[in-house]
Amino acid sequence: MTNVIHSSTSSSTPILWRQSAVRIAMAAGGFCLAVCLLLAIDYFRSLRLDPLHSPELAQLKVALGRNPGNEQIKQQIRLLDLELRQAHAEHEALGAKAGWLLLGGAGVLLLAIKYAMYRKKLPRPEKKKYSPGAARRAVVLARSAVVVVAGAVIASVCMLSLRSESNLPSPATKTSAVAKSTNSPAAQAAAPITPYPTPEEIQRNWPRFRGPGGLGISIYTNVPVSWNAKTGEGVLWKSPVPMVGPSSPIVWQDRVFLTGASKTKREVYCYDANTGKLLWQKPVENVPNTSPDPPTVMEDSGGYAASTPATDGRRVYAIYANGNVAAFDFQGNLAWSVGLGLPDNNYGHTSSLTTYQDRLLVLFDQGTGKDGKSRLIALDSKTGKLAWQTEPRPVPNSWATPIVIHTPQNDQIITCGNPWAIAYNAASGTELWRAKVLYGEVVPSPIFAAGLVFTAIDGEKVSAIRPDGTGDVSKSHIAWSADEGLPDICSPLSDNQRIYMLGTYGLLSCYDIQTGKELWEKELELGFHSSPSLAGDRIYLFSDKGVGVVLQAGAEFKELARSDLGEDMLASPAFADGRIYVRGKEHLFCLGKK
Amino acid sequence: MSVSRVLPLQAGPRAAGLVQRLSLGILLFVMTALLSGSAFAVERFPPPDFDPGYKMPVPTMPAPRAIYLEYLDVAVLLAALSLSVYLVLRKRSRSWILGLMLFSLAYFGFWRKGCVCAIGSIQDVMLALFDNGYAVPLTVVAFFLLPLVFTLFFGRTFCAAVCPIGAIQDVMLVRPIKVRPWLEHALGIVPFFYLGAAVLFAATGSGFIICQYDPFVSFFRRSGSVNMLAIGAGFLLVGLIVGRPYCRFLCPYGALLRVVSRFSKWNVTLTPEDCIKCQLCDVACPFGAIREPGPALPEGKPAAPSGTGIEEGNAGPSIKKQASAKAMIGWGVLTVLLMVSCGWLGARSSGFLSYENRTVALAERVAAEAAGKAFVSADTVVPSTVRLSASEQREENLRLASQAFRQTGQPVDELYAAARVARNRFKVGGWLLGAFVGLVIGIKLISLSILPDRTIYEPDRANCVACGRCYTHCPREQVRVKRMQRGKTNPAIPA
Ligand code: SF4
Ligand code: SF4
Repeated sequence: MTNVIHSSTSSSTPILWRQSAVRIAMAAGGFCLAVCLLLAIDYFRSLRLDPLHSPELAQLKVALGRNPGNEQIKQQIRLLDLELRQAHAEHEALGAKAGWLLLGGAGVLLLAIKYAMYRKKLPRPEKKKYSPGAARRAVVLARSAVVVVAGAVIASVCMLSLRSESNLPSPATKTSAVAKSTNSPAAQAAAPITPYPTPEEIQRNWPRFRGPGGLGISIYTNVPVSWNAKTGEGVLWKSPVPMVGPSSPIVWQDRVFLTGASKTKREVYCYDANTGKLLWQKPVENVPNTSPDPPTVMEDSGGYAASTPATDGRRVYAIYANGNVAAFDFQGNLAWSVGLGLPDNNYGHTSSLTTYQDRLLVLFDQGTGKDGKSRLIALDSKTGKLAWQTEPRPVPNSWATPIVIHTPQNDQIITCGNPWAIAYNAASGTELWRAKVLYGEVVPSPIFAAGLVFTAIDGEKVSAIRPDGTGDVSKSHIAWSADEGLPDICSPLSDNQRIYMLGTYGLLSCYDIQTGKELWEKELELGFHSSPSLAGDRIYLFSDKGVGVVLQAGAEFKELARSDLGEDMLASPAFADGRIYVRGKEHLFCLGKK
Repeated sequence: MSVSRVLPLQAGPRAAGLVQRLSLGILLFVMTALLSGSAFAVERFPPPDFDPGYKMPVPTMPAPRAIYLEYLDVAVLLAALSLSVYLVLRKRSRSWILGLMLFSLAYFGFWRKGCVCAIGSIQDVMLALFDNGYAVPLTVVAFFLLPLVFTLFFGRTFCAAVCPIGAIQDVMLVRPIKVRPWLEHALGIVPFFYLGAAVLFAATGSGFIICQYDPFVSFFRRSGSVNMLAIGAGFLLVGLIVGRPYCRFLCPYGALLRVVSRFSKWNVTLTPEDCIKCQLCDVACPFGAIREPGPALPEGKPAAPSGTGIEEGNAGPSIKKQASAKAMIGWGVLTVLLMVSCGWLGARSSGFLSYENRTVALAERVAAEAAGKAFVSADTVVPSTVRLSASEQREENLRLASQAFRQTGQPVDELYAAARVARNRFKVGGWLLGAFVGLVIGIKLISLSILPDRTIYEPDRANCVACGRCYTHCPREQVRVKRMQRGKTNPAIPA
């Protein structure tokens, strides 16, 4: 495209001068680089100390919001704010000084280089002869180039304008309101623009395994108590699911998402929540860093897609037993995908995904615990890029799903493994506290109720942990613990007064949440893998054979209804306004009143 | 063998190698400067959010610049322009021009921080023409007009040594490469498009894009957004080997000056009477502004480029008139067609372009929310520690703007009506902009078809920025200077 005009350095400048110029240029260049380095270091330091984006400050403000009268938090905020502002002012002052230094250095560098390269006499070019043929070619070339450049500019403006559409109503339509209701279905279905949902949005939906916060609690109290699969009574619709998987359905507004997989194929499904129509079905394929070997899983239960997907209303995220993670937008376009590598897991990866703000959290426990392979990973939910990961976790492969809790001090991610329950700072992934409360193969996920974190595993104990400690809190922060009627697979449930635990062989036990006293125990004579849920004051259990048991939550056992779905199931249900979505072995059911 | 005789033999290539490495060093340094770019960035923070106990400082407003200082700017501009004319056309000295250039860089660039500026003044003048409510300061008008008037008489002497943006690029040039003529022609039309767009946005009161995207102003101020610093650094980086890339391929004021300069009374000339066709001026000019001679006149049988209507073998002094009327009509028709079709496309795109207008953007946002196509969310409960990307930030700003608008309780219809008025202006503007773009393309294509009738190497009136480099290298010019020094000739006023 271009050619160098000046190719030789004339020796007419006295050589010694030229050498000095080269040395000066080198010195000035070194100086500039040093200043740049200083600026770069200061820049990265300033990112951490940015008063507008400081996670610590944000956390303190949340804490203050929950606890408005707390003088100590106020004082902390004042101090931190001042500190950050001072740091920023220092950073700016340094930038201004360094700017001048850089300018000076660059000036000297430029001068010296110019001097070293100065040529008094230019090389004489070869004589050009006018040639009609060459001139004609040049004109044709120039004309085509003009057309290409002009065409490119015009085409890009046109393309951009094609994508934009106007929403302005025509002048004839008069709108008297200032703005229409924001709760219209259309407004809800619209693509949101904030990077992550508000807590209210999350509460209205069922965005992850066991719903908002992973607690198995629905805000809707109008869900059905009984149904009849044979007559179709109380079943709004039933749709076949292309591939099996014990992963549970999740719901966001008018969409239900599922995952399914086989040894070789992995898929995400999106159903219309109102009609049960399969809106899209997308394969997760060509994922970078996918292992050619299939993972070890419990094949008879469909363990290739055991982890429940998660959504933040912007995208839906799925993970499979081979460590592949993928994100799709609500139209089914792949947003990104990454392979985390084949997990070294005895029964296959089952821990489900969860989101925290614009982070996707993956608990990736594997190996023996001594090999340093287990980690909690946070990916940027928009790009899939690694945001942070924890230090190696001192636990072997585990199967529980982490939860994010909000405490007055901070937001914490609670994880379970053998033998530690570990809490991490949700913003940064640094460890906050750990408690030695678990044992063996840890499957039940933790819950958070009445200000306490609950972990439980059969063969060890159920523990109520106060989440305001630091370091090893195994001795200091256990409010109570008990070792009867413990779950082995299903996660516990709480109505904030009591905690309910369900064993795979059907033993349901109930403890007082404050005292840890066992209130009752009941043998349901059914097998369970699905975790219990709470809607209003009713507890919902779904047995392996598809029997739905509805109980009254309370200090005494009281069964309200039993309804048969007629299909085996392992997944936990998802709740929405007036509805329950249940995934059987072959079908997705929507239970609710017509 | 003495040391002094060894040195020259070795030092040459070694020096060259070192210089090359050093050039690489500069690249590295600019890149790193990029990274640390936002180290310069100025940010503003909300005041600490506690109501009791915190005493809000009374905001102080910086006093406006004293009026005499503004007149001083105009006086300096006038003096610099006059001096530039003298140095370019009379003194004909590159060193003096360089000196003035450095002064302008220091004064208009680093001291006045790139504001006030002739390039940006286009927009003020346009806005003032279309919006009666906008009073444009006289100094700005002076900055707009003076360089144009000087160019009309003396060629681009403003670009030579007065414009700080030209100057910063000129001093950055280290080892120029020649841009191929076809590329030069093709990219040379971009400044006109940019000019058209800038006029459209300014005239509709939507924004001053020239200022917004001025790549060098962040260097003059040593502060700016990371993006703009990066773009500026990119231009400077390219400017190490490509002479004045912004001037040649983007500057909208340069586009105006190019047109005006074609009609200038005087301009840079070498020694037209006794050009020996050594082509040294062509080698010396880093801006591709030296034009080659056309076919030899009167002998020879030049063939014309195809499509010009010049018949093969039709030689002689009549070449200029040879472009047959037919072909010219053809080109004319093509240009009109281009103008109409581009105008139509411009009008079609006007809806999209109008999003730059704040009223339109707000009205669209409010309408989208009302139609359920945009998300209306309450204030985020969790304070955001997330850094938003530019487009997300724009969306977020619009969301906040619409929230604020709704709080004012103003009727939506008024907003919609105002947006419709703005949009109609854009429609007309889109037609005009499109037609202008079509015209530029048409004229460029026609001009490419006209065979040059010059017989010597000479600076192109439009593209020559009067930097004076060719003076130093033209052997005939040197002879003329020597002769003049001997007092044998009168200083030649170029005519
Ligand atoms: S062409 Fe270059 S020198 Fe001339 S006005 Fe534009 S930026 Fe300045
Ligand atoms: S004065 Fe004009 S022709 Fe001469 S080198 Fe400068 S830009 Fe090129």
